[in-house]
Amino acid sequence: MSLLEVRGLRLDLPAPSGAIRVLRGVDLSIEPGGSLAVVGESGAGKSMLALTLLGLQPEGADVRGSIRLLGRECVGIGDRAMRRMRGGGIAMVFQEPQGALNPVMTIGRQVAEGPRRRGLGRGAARALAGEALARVGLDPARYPLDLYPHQLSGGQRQRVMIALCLAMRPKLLVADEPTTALDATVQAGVLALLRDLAEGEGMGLLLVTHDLAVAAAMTERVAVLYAGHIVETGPTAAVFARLAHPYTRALAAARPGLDGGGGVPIGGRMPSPRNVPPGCPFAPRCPRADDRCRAEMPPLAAGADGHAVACFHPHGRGT
Amino acid sequence: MNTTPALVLRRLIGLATTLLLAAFVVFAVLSVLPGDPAAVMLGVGARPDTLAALRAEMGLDRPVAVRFVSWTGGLFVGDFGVSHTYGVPVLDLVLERAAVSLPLALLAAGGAVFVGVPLGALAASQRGGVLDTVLMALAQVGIAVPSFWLAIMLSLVFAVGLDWLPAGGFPGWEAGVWPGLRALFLPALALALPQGAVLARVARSAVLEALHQDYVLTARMKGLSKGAALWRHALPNALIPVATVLGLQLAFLLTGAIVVENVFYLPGVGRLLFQAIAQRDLITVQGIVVLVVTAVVCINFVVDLTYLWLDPRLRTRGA
Repeated sequence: MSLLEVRGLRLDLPAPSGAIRVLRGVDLSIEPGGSLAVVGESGAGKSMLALTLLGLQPEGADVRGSIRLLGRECVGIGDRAMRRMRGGGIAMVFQEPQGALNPVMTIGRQVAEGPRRRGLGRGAARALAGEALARVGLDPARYPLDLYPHQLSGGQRQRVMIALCLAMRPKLLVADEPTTALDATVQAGVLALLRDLAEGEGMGLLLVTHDLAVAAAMTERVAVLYAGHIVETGPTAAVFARLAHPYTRALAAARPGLDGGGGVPIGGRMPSPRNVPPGCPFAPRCPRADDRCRAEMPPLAAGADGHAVACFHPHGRGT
Repeated sequence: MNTTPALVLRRLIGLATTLLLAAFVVFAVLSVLPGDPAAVMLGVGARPDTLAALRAEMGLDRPVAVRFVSWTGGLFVGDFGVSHTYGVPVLDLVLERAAVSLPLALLAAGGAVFVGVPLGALAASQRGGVLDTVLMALAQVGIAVPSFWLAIMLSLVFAVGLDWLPAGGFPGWEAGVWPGLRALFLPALALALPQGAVLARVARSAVLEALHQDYVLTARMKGLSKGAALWRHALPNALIPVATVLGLQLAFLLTGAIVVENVFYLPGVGRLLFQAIAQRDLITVQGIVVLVVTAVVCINFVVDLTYLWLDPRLRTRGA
């Protein structure tokens, strides 16, 4: 049984000018203890995908398709049933540790709250919170449980957020751009911590990032999200051995390298989810696009190595 | 790390300065106002030599500066002078009346907080719903209706019409706590309703603001219900703006009480002030104003301490 199995996931947000189509048929899966990176630029629907997996999409959003978490269907089960999945089943680290922690509650209480909700006594929950904080590098001897979030740095706050999830022993941890709001010097530390904890706990990890390099270093599988579609996915090694989708290539080229190379911007803009053109959403920006691309959405076709691409003219097959 | 002692010291210095300033202003204003207290006491047909004798007895023949210094000097040792009309020390007079006014203000403030804030939070939780619309419409009416009109209406309906509660007067606390509270109920309600309406609106918007913060999402990610996330996480943060408004309201409550005490014939400080002005009992007026200013400064101080309690970020600022 897969830990997470998402099939044909669609999400429309209601708007006065007609529904905004954020996710348009997303398929992905994570095996128990496995890891997946969802890569894409802002507006691709990454964060909304992460929230939808927890059932925390904005009120009034129309979710269709299937999300099976630990074998249980989560779409359309209502908030009361979904609440039981959150925390112990699936937990999430948010992008901004600044806003994700309650400024008027001590870190100890915030970390202990999840276990408390699961019926653990006050003392036991507090002890568990101390353990979780120690595991993320915030030893209660130096960082007492009664500190408030503002007394910590950005990186330390993100560690608190991770401890908060860890204390609930989730089977799947979703991390939405967990280092984007942090200083470059602490990003690597937080990422390494996430990876080590996921491996050590046998926790599944779904990492949302805009950075292909982070995905390459962190997870077993990657999925590239563009305008609500998965355009390329597969085992990390296979995908990076041959970036096949023109968008993935462009994304890789856009990343500035230390040697002064890279940094090639992708021309044009992602199509607005309010106004979706027919065909491949990347076609208007794609140098390889032809009339077929503009008329018809290419299906996600997998090769023998599990590397799947949604493109009529992928790179690397003799071209 | 803790800045509370510094704050207390700053406040005490501020209190002394404010009081001195208030004493000066009230004294100056009452000195230039027409209306000789001695002339008022003796009536229009008084003989000039009698008038002069009374003025000398009351100390009114001394230069203004001398009177100011002697009065202000007395304030600091608790000597507020002797009322011209009652012939008893002003401080005793005010303290006796405060036994009515203070419970009235506390009842009104308590009622406004314990009804207004939860209703505001409730409205926020049902934003756009029927309950929200009804509550906010009521709040709008509550804000628009002046206390004195409300006092008259409440008195007409519940005292004159239904005869549930006394229409006015005060039996004194000697008669027992219950009769006293009964006499204060309608006036407190008249004061509390407009204040509670303002608090409900402030609480609603503050809770709505807080509900948009990521920490509410974090709380729900832990498995808390929407309601629990609101009460445990959004509301404590929303109380900070509520405390600001409440602090301002408490000062208004003291002045609003003057009108309401007169409608209900309550022997409170407000009614004493009203009568003292009518009878040109200047020393009593001065004393009441100084004491009310003291009360307002003390309330502001308590509000500041409340901030420290509500918002841990303020406790360590600059540390």
